[in-house]
Amino acid sequence: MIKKGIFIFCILFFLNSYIKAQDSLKVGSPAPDFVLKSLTGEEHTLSSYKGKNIIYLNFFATWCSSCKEELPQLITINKNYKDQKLLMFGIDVKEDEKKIRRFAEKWKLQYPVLLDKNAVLAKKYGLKGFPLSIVIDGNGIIQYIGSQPPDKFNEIFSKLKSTIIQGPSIKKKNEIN
Amino acid sequence: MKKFNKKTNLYLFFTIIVIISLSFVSGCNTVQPWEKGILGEPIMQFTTDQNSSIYQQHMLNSREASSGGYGGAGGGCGCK
Repeated sequence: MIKKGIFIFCILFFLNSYIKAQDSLKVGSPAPDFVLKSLTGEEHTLSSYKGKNIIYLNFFATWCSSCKEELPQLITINKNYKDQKLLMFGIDVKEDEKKIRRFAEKWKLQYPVLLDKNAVLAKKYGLKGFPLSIVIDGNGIIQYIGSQPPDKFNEIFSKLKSTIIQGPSIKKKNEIN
Repeated sequence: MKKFNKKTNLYLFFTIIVIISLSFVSGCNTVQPWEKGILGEPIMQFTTDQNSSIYQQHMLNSREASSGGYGGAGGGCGCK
């Protein structure tokens, strides 16, 4: 009886752990949609950029030293590719807005910083630690996921270019209007 | 086929419930990444004066020939 009980417990315990491990997203899985407000108050919906832009999501925290270390690299990627329809978003999870604003000003971030106030998006994307970089192609499929920016971003970007419609980007359209 | 009485059935039922509940315990103690910033704040440290604490540990080590038990090194963001 006790042996059977221990056996059932072990099976359920490992099954539970296995199911939890399967929760996180992988390369090739569709990116969960979101609607989040940025520091400037603009609302951003992931699905509205489908087919139009390649998306770079960067989950960060103001207290995370690794996030600060990779920031110069992210700023360079954004600078080099924003005219080629790359849309970069920094995503802060559950932090004070004033703190985030100070951080964005200090680092002179040129990309929108989205506020995940209730950590809903972080849970959807299975965030395990900061920082987290995710590259999403024009079809809304995750093409890169990692704790650092991709080593050869230009190679990934040139592969993904075919997934978006060529023409003026959404940002430029807004600027014209 | 062995027949169980009511008491044994109840005992069996509660044992199964306890086993199933215990198997889900593994998910209760996870500190989320966004909560780790709070844990890393100075107010969350065991000692208010780090230098004094190091000195006391050194004294304890030399007098008692024992050390440790004060936690381990690690980052706050769960990345390194």
